[in-house]
Amino acid sequence: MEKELNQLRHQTIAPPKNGSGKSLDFIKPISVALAGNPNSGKTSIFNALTGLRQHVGNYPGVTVEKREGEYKVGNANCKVLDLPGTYSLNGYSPEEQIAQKELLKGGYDVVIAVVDSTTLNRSLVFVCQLMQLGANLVLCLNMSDEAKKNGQELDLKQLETLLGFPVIETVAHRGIGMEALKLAVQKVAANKAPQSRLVLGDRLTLALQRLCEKLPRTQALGGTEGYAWVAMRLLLDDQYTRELVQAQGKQGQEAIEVANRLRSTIEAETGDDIALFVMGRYYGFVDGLLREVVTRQPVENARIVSDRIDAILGHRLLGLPFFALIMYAVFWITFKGGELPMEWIKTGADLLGKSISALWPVGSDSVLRSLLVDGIIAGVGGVIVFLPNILLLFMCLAFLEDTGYMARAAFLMDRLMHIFGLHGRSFIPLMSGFGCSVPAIMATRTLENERDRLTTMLVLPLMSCGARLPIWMLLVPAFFAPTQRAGVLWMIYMIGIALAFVLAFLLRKTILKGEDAPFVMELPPYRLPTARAVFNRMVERAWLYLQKAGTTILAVSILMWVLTRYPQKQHFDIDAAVAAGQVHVIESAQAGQTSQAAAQGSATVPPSVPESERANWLTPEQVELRRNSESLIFSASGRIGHFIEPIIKPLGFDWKIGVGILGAFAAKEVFVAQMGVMYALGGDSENTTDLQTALKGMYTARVGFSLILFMLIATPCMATVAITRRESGKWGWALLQFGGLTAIAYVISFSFYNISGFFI
Amino acid sequence: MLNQSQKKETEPSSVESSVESSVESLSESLTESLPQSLNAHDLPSALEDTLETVYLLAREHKVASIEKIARIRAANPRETLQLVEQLQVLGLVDFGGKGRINNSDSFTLTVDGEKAAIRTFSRHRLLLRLFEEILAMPSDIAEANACAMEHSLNAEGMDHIEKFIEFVRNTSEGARIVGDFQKFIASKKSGQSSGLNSLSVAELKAGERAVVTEVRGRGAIRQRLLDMGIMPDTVIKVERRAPAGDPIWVRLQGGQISLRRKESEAIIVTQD
Repeated sequence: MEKELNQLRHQTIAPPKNGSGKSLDFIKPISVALAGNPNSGKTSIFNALTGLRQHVGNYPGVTVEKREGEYKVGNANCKVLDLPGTYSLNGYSPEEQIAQKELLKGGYDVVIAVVDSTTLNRSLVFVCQLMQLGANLVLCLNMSDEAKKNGQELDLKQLETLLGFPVIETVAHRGIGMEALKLAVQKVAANKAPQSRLVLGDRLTLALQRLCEKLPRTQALGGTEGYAWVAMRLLLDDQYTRELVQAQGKQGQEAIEVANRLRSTIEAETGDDIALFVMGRYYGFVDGLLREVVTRQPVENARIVSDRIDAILGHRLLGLPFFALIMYAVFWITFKGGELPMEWIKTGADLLGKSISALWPVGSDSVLRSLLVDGIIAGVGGVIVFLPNILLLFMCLAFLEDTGYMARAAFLMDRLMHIFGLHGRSFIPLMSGFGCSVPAIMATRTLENERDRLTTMLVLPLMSCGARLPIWMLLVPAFFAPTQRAGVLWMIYMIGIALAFVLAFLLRKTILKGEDAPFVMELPPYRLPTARAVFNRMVERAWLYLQKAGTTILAVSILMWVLTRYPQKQHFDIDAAVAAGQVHVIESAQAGQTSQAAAQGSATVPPSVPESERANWLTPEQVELRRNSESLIFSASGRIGHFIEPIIKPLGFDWKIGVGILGAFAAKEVFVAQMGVMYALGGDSENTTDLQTALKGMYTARVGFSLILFMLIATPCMATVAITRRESGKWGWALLQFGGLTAIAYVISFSFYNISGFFI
Repeated sequence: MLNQSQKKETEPSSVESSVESSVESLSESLTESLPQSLNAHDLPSALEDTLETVYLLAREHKVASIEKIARIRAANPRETLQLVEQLQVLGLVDFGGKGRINNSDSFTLTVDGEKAAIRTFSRHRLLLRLFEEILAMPSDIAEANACAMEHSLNAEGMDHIEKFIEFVRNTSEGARIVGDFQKFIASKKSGQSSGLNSLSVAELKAGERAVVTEVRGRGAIRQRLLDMGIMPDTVIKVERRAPAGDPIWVRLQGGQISLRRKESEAIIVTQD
């Protein structure tokens, strides 16, 4: 085994493995768990192992991300679970609890402990805990290239001997060492029952032995292998374990008493409290280990380049301007860079619509054609057109996260966040909220304190999400001059952020009062992310977005198409008015004299018509628009829109906007699709006025901005409401979020619309 | 003073060998007054003290007398006389050819006697400086301890003390250490629980380095600090502060982390 491992250790590509007689040993798939610190490159290892054969879900009951995947080594099938990244298994945060429970539950043939080779000291203490758990371990020294560049040299053979399990050096993002890792996993799976070589000193060892004997022999405590861990946790007075043991009846109660006695003895004898004492033993073991295996120490200031960057980006005065600059760059790349591909998609969708329309004879009124072109292509196409923006935004966010800049941003922002009762770590979910509220709300799980988490979750929809981007891309150019657009967009985001802070502050002062959670955050060295890692993240997010577009949005688009089309009106009032002579249609010859004038209506009306009558002279196009409008008013959606119009009128909105707002609850971006469908009604795609021109014609900039404010603040989409309910565990919070934000939006839009009326 | 000691170091043989030989001869004649633990080249403390007083008097008045020595040392003139006689046996004092002297008779040091006295006296002055000026002992306690210690230190031990004093006086770090220590002593005296060089990480300035002595608090925050490698005896350096001074950015052996003021207050360090 040693020899093979050494051969494979630095190889990227596996030698062809022929199915041998041994394959029969591995008919059952090997179950593997990946454990490690955050920033250890655990996810890179997971991706390198499983490639595309993975899926992302959630742990039952909680919403910490659960990544599972599989790979083949030889004939063996390996199922891999990527545990949440934690610094210990102490169970203080939801992640730590899950990692602990998952590992205690057992059943994993192999646990791969992923450590960052440049922080061996701290990382190996975590490995000690895994050893204590009795896991069948493979130690994966990731980022070994970085450690070597720093001058660190290790005696791997010695390390393996001392630990008693295989040690593999890897560089996950370049795929180095992955085959050796797979092989080691296979070998360990075949030869289980490890002898723990953890040396924690006589005092602790004896105490644990005595406690182990007292533990009730029940399945709930995780079987033989788990006893050492349960004893340790009990000695450390861990609440979860204590309750677990307590539930085992009288014998459990006795064990707890023994643990309490042992603990006070140790504390009295050593003068240290138990937590410090145990950590001291772990660090002692690791120090001894490293003294034996580190053949060359890394140089003192190995992070010199990273430190120089931090001297600027983390600088007390320069840090924030650079942060603002970086944020600006992110938005610039997202919006400016997205323009050209958006044009292509628009053109493509138009062509598709036209070619589908061409399948039907000219002038025919087919329901199917209308459904395809006006419902599906117009709806979904209107969403996909913003995909470039979303891809670019997520690319930027993934880049910032993978380089390590996000942690610096949290460092810079914490004081400010803290003023408003938020945690510096809230910054990362909030920033992700610019992408999509749903994963961002899920990301609030990194906050250990329940109140911090709820506060962040509740205000998170105020971060202008990627789905609202299509709305901004529609409304901002429609109402603002090209030179103003970037500024207005910036203002939209800033208003959202400012409101989120104010609301967070109010929440922490009222219904979510309480203590702050610890802010102890690692600042890993800057690392250049691989294009593949950024690409993977970008595609993963984009795929989630598209799935939403493909399912929810398609369904809603069709529903909207139905709502806007049925019931159909047979006899239009405008036709009756023309027949009755109340409205005159301008002859097409007259209208054709000056097409520009025709568009403005009354310009081509015969001079004999008196001023008061001119409103009754219409072009055929205007008659058609009247018919469409009547058709809409008659349809179900028009009726709902009309029903709520009195409520939204004080904000400057008409019933059409009302219909769009209703649609936005399904998904924010549906607002755009809905507006598209509504304004395309009844017309061929050739005659369809550009939506933006239509909006510009319909509403003033004042209404436009009032609408922007409303869309920014109000009514998180149904997915957000659903995820908030799931994350907070209560409908109450989700409804508070929904109702509260909508009410605030109403007040703000109302104030803006009416106050601005005095100035404009 | 340091020059003297250096000189002594470069040519110690003459003085020490002579003293050694004298002690050997002395030990034969005066065995009862010599404890076994004494180093061969050392004089019994009473003799050294007497020699020192003779030296001081001789330096000031050219000559010394039993009367004056006894008065200065607050000792019995008879005993003092015996001690001076012992010095004479060792050839360290010169009675001017007389076989016996009276209490009022003047006498001086021989060349060997002066060398031995300088050696003893410089030790005394060095220790006095150490105790009084550096370790901030009250002068009476410093004097008493210097007197007691000057006889029991050997040449090597003395050499290290000299080097230490040189370090403290001639380097800025040394001066800072002494300053901090004295403030610490002062704060201890005024009844504070921790002195100036026992402070929390929150009190460190950007760029300052310290050793963790204690991680306070309980539960989640403390465990996280321990998990991140903040253990007693680890070196912690404040790298920088965030724009508003909080949180802070610290460097440890195994990486860099940021902490809020509240957490950093739980980490007690000492700057040494």
